[in-house]
Amino acid sequence: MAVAVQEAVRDGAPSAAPPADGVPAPSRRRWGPRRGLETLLVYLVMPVGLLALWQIASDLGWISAYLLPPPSRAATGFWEIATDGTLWLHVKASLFRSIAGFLIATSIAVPLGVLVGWSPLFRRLSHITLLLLIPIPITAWISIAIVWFGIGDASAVFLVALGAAVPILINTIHGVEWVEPIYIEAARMLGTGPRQILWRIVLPAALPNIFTGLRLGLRNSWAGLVVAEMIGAKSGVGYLIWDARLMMRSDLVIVGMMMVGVLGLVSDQTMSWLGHRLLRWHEGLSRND
Amino acid sequence: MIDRAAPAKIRAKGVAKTFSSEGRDVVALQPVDLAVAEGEFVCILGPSGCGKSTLLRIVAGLIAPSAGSATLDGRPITGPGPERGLVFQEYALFPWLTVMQNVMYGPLVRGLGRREAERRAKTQIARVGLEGFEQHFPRQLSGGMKQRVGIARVWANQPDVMLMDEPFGALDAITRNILQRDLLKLWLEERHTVLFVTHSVDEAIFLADRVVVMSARPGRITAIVPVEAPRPRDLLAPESITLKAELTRLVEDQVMGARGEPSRLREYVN
Repeated sequence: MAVAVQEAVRDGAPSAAPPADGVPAPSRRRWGPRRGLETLLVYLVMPVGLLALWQIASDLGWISAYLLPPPSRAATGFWEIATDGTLWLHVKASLFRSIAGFLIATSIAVPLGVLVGWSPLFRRLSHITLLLLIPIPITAWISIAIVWFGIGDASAVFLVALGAAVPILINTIHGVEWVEPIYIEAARMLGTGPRQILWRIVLPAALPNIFTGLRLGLRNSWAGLVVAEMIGAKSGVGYLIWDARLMMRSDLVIVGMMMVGVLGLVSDQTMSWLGHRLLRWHEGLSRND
Repeated sequence: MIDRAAPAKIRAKGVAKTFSSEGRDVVALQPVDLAVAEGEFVCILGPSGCGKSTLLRIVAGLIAPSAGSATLDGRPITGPGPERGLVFQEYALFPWLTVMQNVMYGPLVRGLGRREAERRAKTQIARVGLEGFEQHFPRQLSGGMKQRVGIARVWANQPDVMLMDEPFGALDAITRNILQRDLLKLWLEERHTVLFVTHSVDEAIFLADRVVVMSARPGRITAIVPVEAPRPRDLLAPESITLKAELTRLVEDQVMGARGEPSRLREYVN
C-alpha cells in the first residue's frame, strides 16, 4: 500500500526534484550573445511558415474553406468581432472565471497539499480518496457542476478551480513529502525547533515543486474553462467556439481556439516570469539572472 | 600534550549501533569507548562503511545508540542541538538562502535578533574568506566555497564542539589541501573541540592531536594514535612518513583482515 501511495503521487507529478515545465525552453546559451532580431526571426520561422502554407493551400483549393477556413478569413472574422466588442466581452468573462478559479484552487490545494505531505496520518487518511478522485477528468464533472451551480459563472469557476487544484495538490504533496532530509538535519543541528521546521525548511524547499504545480494547474484549468463555457455558460471563449459552430462560422471557431491559445500562452508566461522572480535560487532555472 | 586528567568534553561509553533492515539486523558499530578532551582535535580514521559516521551522528544526536551513551560535558546527548555544530560532507546549505542568510540562520532561529545575527555572519564570512559573496546563492559557489559557508554557518552559532563528517571528502585534492590549511589556521585561533571523520590518512596526520583508527564493519576502535609533531606539519617530513606508513597499515589491515603482529603505535586496543 505504501508503495502504491508513492507511485501514484509520483505518477501524477512529472516534477521530480527539478520542476519540469513540460515543453523545455530552448537553451539560450546555444544562441550565444547574439540575441535580438536574429533570434526572434528563428522563433518566428515556424508559426509564420505554417500560416503561409495554410493560406497557400487554401488559395490553391486544396483545403475546403468550410472545413478549414484560411488565415485571411479567420483574420477578417477576428476583426469583425473585435471591432463590435463581442470578442472583448467573451475574453473578459473567461479571464474573470480563470483568475477566480485559479485563486480559489491555490488557496485550497496548497494548504491541503502541505497538510497531506507533512502528516503521515493525513496521507493515509486521504490516500484512497485522492486516488479515486484524481483520475476523474475535468470534463466528467460538468454535469454535476451544472446541477450544483446552474448555468453561468459559478459552474465555470468551479471547473476551473477543480482543474487547477489537482496538479497543485499532487505537486505540493510531493514537494513537501520529499524534502531532502539533510536540510532538516542541518536545521535541527543549528537549533531549529520542531515547529519551525515546516515554515523555515519544508515550505521553502518544496516551493519549486509547488510552483510547478501552480503552472501545470493553470494549464490544466483551460480545459475546464472551455468545456464549462461550451455547455454551462452563455459567454466566454468556450461559448464563442461552440456558438460559432452552431452558426456555421468555422472562421470564428478558429478565432476562438486561437484566443484560448493566446490566453494560455500569456498566462503561462506570466507564471514562468513569476517563478523566475521568486525562485532565483533554484538550480533548475536559468543562470542568466 | 593533552592533559589526560582533564574531564572529557565528549565521552562515548559503550556506544553501539545496530540497524534493522528487512528483518535483518546489521551491526554498524560495536561497543565503542572514546573520550575527547576540551580543545582537542580528534580525527576518526577508517575505511568506508566502518561506522565512523555512525559514531559521529550519535554524538550529533541525529541517531540514537542501540546501547551505551554519549555525553557532552557529562550531560547525556538526547537529540540534535546547536551546542554541537555539524559540518556535512554534502554541505547541506539551504539553497533558497544567500550565503549571508545561511550563516545568519543559526543565530536568527535561536532568537538572537537580526542585528546580532548579521554581526556574527559578517565576522565568520570574513574569517573563511568569502567577503564579497554574501549575496550569492549556494548554487553559484564552487564546492570549496560551499564548504567554507558550511563552516562559517556552524561557527556563527558559537558551538561548544564542532563535528565534521568528511567535510572535504567531495572536494578535489588541491581545494582539499587549501581548506585543510585554512581550517587548521582558524582552529589554532580558537581551539574548539573538534571531532573530525575522515578516510584520508594524510588529512588525519595534518590536522589531528589524536587519530582514532576504526575497523571495517562491524565498526570498532582498533587503535588510538597521538600525533605529537608541532603544527603546521610537513607531510613530507620523515616522522610524518613513518606515521603515515603505520596508520596506512593499520587501516589496510582492517580492510584486508588483520594479520599478525600488533602495531608499534597501538596504545589502546578495544
